[in-house]
Amino acid sequence: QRTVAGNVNSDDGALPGAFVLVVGTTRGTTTDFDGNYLIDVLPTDTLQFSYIGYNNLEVPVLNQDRIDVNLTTGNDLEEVVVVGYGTMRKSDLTGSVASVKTEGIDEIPQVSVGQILTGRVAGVNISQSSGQVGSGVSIRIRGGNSLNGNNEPLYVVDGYPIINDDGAFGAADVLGQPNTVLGSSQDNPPGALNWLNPADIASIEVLKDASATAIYGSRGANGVIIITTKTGKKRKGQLTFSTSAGFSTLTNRNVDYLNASQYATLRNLRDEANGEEPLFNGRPDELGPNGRIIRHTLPENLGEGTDWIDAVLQTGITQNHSLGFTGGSDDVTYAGSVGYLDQEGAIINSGLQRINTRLNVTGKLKSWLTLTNNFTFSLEDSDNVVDSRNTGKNGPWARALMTIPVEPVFNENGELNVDYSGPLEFQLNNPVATAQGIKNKFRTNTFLDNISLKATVLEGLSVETRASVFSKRLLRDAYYNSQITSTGFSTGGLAAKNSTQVQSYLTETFASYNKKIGIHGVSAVVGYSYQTTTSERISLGAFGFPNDDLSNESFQSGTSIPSETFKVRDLLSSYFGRINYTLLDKYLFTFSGRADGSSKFGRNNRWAYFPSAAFAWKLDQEDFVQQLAVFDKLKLRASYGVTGNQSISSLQTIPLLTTVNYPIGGGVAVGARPGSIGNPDLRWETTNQFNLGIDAGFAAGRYTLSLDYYNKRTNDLLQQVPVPINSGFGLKFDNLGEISNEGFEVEFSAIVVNKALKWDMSGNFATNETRLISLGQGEANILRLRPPGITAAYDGSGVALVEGETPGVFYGYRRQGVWTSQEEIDANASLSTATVGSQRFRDLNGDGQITAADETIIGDPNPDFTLGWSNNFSYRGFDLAIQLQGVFGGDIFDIQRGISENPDLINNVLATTLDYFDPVANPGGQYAAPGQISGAYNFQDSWVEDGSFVRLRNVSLGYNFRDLKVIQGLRIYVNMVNMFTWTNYTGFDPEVNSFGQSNLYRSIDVATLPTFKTVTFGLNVNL
Amino acid sequence: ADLEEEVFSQASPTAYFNSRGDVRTALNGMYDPIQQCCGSYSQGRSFLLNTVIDEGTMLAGNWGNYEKLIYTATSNGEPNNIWASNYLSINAANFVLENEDKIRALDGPAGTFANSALGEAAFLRAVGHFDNVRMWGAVPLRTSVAKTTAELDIPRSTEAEVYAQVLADFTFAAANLPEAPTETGRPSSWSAKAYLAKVHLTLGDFPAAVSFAQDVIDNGPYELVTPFAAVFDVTNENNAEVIFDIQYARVNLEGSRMAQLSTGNNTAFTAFGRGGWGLQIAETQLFEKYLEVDDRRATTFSSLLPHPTNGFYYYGKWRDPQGVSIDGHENNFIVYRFADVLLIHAEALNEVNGPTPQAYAAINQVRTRAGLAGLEAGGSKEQFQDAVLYERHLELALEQHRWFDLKRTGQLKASLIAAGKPWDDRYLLFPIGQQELDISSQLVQNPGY
Repeated sequence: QRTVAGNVNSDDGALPGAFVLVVGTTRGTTTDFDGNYLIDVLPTDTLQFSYIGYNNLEVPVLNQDRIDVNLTTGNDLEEVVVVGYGTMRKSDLTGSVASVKTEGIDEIPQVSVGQILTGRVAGVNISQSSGQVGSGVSIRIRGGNSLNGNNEPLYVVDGYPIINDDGAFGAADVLGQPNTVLGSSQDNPPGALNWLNPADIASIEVLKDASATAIYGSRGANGVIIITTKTGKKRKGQLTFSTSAGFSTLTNRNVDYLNASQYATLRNLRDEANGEEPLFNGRPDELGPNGRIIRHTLPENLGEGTDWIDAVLQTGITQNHSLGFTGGSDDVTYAGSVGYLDQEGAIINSGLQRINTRLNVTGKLKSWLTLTNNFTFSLEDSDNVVDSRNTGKNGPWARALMTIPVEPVFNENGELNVDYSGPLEFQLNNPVATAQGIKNKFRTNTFLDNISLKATVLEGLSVETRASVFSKRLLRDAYYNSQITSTGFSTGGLAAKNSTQVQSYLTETFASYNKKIGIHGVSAVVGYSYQTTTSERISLGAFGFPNDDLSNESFQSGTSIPSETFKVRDLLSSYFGRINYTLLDKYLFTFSGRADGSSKFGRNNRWAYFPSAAFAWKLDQEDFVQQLAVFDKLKLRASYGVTGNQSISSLQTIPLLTTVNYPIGGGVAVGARPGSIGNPDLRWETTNQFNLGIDAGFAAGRYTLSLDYYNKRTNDLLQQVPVPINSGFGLKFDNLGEISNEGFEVEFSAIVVNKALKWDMSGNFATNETRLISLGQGEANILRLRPPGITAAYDGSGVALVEGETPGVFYGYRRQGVWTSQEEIDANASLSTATVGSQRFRDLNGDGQITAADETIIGDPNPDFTLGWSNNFSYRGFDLAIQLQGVFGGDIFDIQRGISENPDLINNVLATTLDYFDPVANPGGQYAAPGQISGAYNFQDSWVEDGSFVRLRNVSLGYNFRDLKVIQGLRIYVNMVNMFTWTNYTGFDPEVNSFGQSNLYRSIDVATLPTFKTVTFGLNVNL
Repeated sequence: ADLEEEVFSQASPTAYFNSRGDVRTALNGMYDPIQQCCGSYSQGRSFLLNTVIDEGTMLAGNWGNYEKLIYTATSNGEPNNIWASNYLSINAANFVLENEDKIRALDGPAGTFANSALGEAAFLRAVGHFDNVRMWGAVPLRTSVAKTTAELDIPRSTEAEVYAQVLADFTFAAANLPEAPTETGRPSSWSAKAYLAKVHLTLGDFPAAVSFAQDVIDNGPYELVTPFAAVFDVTNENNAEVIFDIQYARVNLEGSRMAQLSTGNNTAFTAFGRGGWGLQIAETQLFEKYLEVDDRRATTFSSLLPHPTNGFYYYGKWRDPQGVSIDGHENNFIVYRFADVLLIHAEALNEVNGPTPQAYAAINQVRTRAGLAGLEAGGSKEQFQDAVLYERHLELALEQHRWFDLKRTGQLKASLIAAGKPWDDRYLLFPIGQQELDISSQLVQNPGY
């Protein structure tokens, strides 16, 4: 027996704590801080070297005295994934974790994290709240658990947790109420994760089950998305330069509204039905009170008129440039980037510019002590279209859909054709003027710095302390021009500046321990975390300016609106831990959990505990499976655990006063009245999740398949319970009710062809059934809602919470064509307001009247299943990637039809309404006759459509130049996003979700700016 | 660590009333809900209460069909807004009243400051409940701020119980408010006494109504302002005729919207000297009821000629060409004025003793100011009743009184039918919003809805 010495090394430097094991025995050791080891062996022994994330290596001792090895990073089967507070080999996972490596993906320009993830992970659904560039995104992992709480996953960026709550970061009040000094989340604040440059991302892990997320405790219930940015490697410096230019247009332009001649024809019929003189009667045009010409041209002489949709659209040009660098030596590694994005919107006068910088440096201070500093800064300027999720008609897009085509863009003097003399609904809000006259700029500065000090204290034991500083400032600049916007006209120009600042400090200390003793493997982490977040908002407004020259930059030139400030501080204090135990490298056990104390909880319920347990069995290590010679990998996983959701707005547990104003005593005086009742018992939502999964690999990793079944139950839902308004309060947060989500997920990958031509594919399929088990509100098993911002003219609920159904089912009347004769109406005595040719509805309870009792479920927004399919081809220097995404079985509720099919013809309407009822000419017409307005605003099933679609999400074709002398690599490519969509939805875009992150109002279309397709040409250079 | 959430910018109701400033602020909070936007006198009430009768109508469109008496529990319209506004105001009043101990502790031994504050709160609470009981009948009676879940959802009280509280509150206000308001725009003890006359009249206690009206007329500070136009003149606000009003200022969002909504667009009566939207329209039959010599006509309507293109007459009592925005007109909304008290006096006197000379004197004071001849004595009690109701119609037109008058006198059905409008018994009360019913486990809908 003799002693062998050596060193275990890798591309990233020496590997301290690597295992060195004598094969077939329990004898072994681990390397020291510099990767050195000593071990007593026999010449006949074989040494096995292993380290997490690297391929095992076996070396026979023979007569060597010194064995130095260089471990290489893992192949796919030994892939390392990032989990909460650590990393694990994928094969050792017991929970449900999906990993998206950006290698390959990062060669095409991505503008957001959401875009990277769309369609790539089973059970992860992503929807954009608006086609506005840079607008927020809503991500659901395994369905929504909460009604009123946030349903967005927790993002952990290099260890720093961020909740993607567009309400909290937007111009909206942190209290969840719109800011009274002009501005709310409806003015389309930029997405909360925009500051992250996708080109900086190395990997994204999606933690789905409780075993994986319990370590994030009260923020884990909606799943966790761990984003790891690129780090340096010990190698020569490398520069990467990427540049691209893209062109964006609407995905679908095939929604027809009436042209001028058609509109005037119907408008005349409407006027006649109302007993008025037809407007388009051939008389000479006349001058209206405010200089607007009132046209009387006969319909047949009007022609096409103005196509307002074309008038507000443009081809948006996007430029994206990024410079990345990386490198390192034994002691210092670094990676960083500078990025610039300039994106024009598909609507005139909209767009964004963003600059990102990042630097990640890791240095070895001592052989046992490593310091890492990871710094990110982002500056984003966006010109956002006001894209209201309401029928308040504010934005240029909604205006474009409504404005009548007989009006020209410019009047005879060449000025924008506007008229604000009448009541709001009769004004002429020229969509082009709306786009030009409303300034709605957001400037966002985001700064994140993580400093981490990691000490290897003993063999296998390290202690890491992190401190993070996060600061986000959002400034909204708004101005409504006094001449060409309605709001500005009525106020003499209206200006606002809203500043929101969120500042957060996080400190975390945790110890990690790794040890393998014979057949037992243990890895554990335990730690403490403390985070404090201060949110502050300042709102200023002024109006009545002498002219528009200074826009909103000179409040002293106007009359000030009372300003508003708001400030609150939240605290979160936590203990967390996880232990993984491996027996015989076959049986894997994981226990993890977190204790959270949060200031957002009521004082009677301040601490919460979230445990989880998981078991996995590596069947591929069993003889009976190996004998089958089918699987080269087979693992069964089961987990159960409890996670929470604490993302309620601040200040819900204590009663507060609302500040108001009343002009008395010679000026505007301050007033106060009870605003919120508070709930000292308020606590987190609790989600219990069970997960069962199988991972299988075949043919040496050529084919892989993962199946997961999960069942989640969430109770103590944070409900914003409406209380009887006669109490003097409107809403109260309470823990009531229960929701279940149950689903099945499949992910597969295959290397189909692996010759000169390579073809690999991956795909996913997922179902999720979500049910409101209980409202928790006594006997009431239904709660009627009404989408916010919908004008009072709409009759009915629109949306409801019904026990046993998907939360937020569409709720309204059943349409039964139109009333075709007076006899028909007379047979239903109480419907005295109906007229022949007006909409008819089913009298479900047969009482002869159409009342609230006749409303019923008319649609379900929840898709039956979703699909994603990615293909990558390469041949010589060419590469081609094709990604398809499909969503099947969910309904869309097009609420805008109350206006866009309205027979009152105050606004322009859809061309489909030309099929209106006429007793002689078109007795089978399905639409109300012009002027027959009864019921036109009833929420109804004829506005509900199947929203299934398949979308060619991404096609990318590139060519890599090889064997270039000066540069290491050069790639040119063309990339197409959202090129084709197959759907039966008759609106603009089936991927519509006007209410963004809301879980109550999903898949509703309220004239929201649709998505666009983009063709991008680009170039990447490696030096 | 101490995990208490820190709020820097908002006050806690439990740590309030530490200064007289707090008290004044809390009192101001009572007015805001009935001043602002939707359920206010200057919008929602005007939309509803002027159009469900024979005085006003609305430009067709998205603003409800109240003139056709079309409204349901689910149409999310003005009845709900008014209900909500009144209860928000009542809750704010209760917040003051239930902190009596703290407020008294801020006062000297005479107690005048606390008495006045508590009287003002009781006054506002009574104004809210009085409207609610008349519009919805037996409504929930709120006399304290809800602190527990159970207190958030309470059943209806009987009409008698609500009226008893209204009387008690106005009586308390009359006893505790000072004779002259502490600040222009706040109620005085005379405001409360005038309300007591109106409540008693509504309840049919005519001797009591006579006695309160008499007291206000004989001893109160009010008088008829001449000419009629001066009552509503925006440069003559808070005049001697005003008993209670809602204050507005030329500040965006703190001003009135009334001018914008109701004057015609061929006028120059709104912000920047522009015309109004003409959203609210006076019924032509209302215009035609005025004699040409009636001085009130030129004020009640924005023009003596119909609109040149559409032929409508528009409201004219609320005009402010110096307004600064849609919601920035100065016009205070006069909720209660002295002419109303004179007519109450006349009506109650007639009910007690028939048309006495004193009764004729009261109504003729109002007629004379309008430039009309006084009524000749000698009519029957019924004729006098009709005359007073008609005078109220013309004198207080579009000021949101007539629906209450018609209901109180049992004339609602007859006058709607006479005006060519539909009738159903359910019109005697408004519907409670369906959402409110769904939320509450205690409330039941009014009959017919």
